[in-house]
Amino acid sequence: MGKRVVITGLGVVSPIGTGVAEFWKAALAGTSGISAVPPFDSLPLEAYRSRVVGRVRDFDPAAHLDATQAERLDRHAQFGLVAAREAIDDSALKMDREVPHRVGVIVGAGMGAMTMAERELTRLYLELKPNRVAPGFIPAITMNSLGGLIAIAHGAKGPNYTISTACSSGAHAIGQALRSIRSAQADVVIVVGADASITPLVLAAFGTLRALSQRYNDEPERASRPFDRGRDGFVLGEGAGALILESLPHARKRRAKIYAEVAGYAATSEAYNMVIPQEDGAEMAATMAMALRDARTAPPQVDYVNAHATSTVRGDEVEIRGIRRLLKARANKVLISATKSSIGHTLSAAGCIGAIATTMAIQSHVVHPTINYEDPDPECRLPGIAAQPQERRIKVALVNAFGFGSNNSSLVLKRYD
Amino acid sequence: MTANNDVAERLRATVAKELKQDVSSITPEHTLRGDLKLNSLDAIELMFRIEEEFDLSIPDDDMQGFVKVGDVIDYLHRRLSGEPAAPAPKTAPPVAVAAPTTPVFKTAAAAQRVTPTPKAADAQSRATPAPKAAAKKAKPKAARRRA
Repeated sequence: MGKRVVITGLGVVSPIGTGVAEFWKAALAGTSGISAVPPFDSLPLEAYRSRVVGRVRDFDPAAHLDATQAERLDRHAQFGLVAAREAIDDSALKMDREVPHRVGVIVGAGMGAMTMAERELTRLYLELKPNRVAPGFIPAITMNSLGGLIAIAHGAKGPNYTISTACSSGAHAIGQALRSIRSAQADVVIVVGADASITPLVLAAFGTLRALSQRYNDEPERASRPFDRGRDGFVLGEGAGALILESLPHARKRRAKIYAEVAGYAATSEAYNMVIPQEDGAEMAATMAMALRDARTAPPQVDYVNAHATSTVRGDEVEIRGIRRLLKARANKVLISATKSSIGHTLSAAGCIGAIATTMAIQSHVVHPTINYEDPDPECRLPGIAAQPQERRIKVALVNAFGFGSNNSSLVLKRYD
Repeated sequence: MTANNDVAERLRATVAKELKQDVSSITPEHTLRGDLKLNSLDAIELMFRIEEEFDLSIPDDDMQGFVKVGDVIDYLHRRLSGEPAAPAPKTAPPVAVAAPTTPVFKTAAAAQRVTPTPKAADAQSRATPAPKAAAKKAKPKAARRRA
């Protein structure tokens, strides 16, 4: 086992705020970032099964990026660049004092440049002008686009790759960064998970897949309700989360502020079904168990679980079953919260934003509420789930992220002292 | 206002609009790459706007000669006065300063080498593995599987 790895910087763009301070304040206050879907040109919105989304509403690209980047980059890349810059500033990492080849970038990107893809495809067929297709389309649509942009923006010349595992991409990116640093491939890794796929096609397709909530189209703020009996699917969100991971010796040497330790990680496949988790939760339990072993800790030590909990009927239930199976009696003692209750499912950003919420909980001794948890579903009821903030000194926390394609990931974050 | 000035004004306005800058900040002396900070992709987008605005098509060879805004203005004058599209005679910069006078399309032209020309070999091998080599590798495997 290599060096210990710590978190020294955070950045976020979310439906409840841009910037970690704003995000965390809103999360603790139980703010909902879910709103009615904006018009999609002339498409009939009433034909969409789900018309609620976790949209980043206050994001002005021109306020953060230069004019051409604000105009041309795909929205997910803009989110990612902004979150990455906040995290780097927060960590006080000075690139001119770093060995550039020792600073890597690992991005979790599930859908990539969907916004741009749909726009350009539509334009091509409407205008019939192949000679006017955006020349930046190809470098934007490749899944590693954001990784390249971040490296260029900050001069990070270390390993640079993108992990695409749907909704667990962000968590996998953190896990792979942990392994890159442990194996001495890099001293610092800028980790970003980003997604911006609230597009006419993607919202329609998640709808026809029967993955989205459709019961609360007239009450958007109530639509994302993990663990509640009235839940009926997830709410499509968007955003980005960024974390600076570095080896403990490196962080100490430059006297960086240390938020928490990334102590363990596990990645597995259920090899079961493309979109549905295995009913008994055994695979999720196994993944969490492996992450705890990797962190050299054990179920009785766990204080908090930042659940994947997307607000789908089956997913939430299976995850709690997995937690019960793994933690046994401890399951009644741990705190559990679902960040998606406030922001919806931000897809490949979810694992990173969940890890940020967990880091903030470790730092501030308080766990954010699971909003809309009004009528606990007996199938996934545990005493540690609450619609109010809960105070607790957290030493060990699990962050779960599960993705389409039958894949699971768990991270273990520890208090650093 | 003379016709010449009109072209210059329209071009400056087009550039300003594309770069989201005030038209007064665009002068014929500005270099596209150095002063206006256009990268190769930005420059192609700009050419789209110019082609639409002036209703003409600018061949890639002609674009190679554009270093300054003034080069584009001169080129448009020639084209609009009936001169056919052809490699523009390069205006020799008074002093050879490496970076700012580099034609902005140099890298763009390289990126455009996706048509199979002998020179494109490098760009292609970076983008995708050579199909022939892949086919060669795949064949025996598939054959084995069938057997």
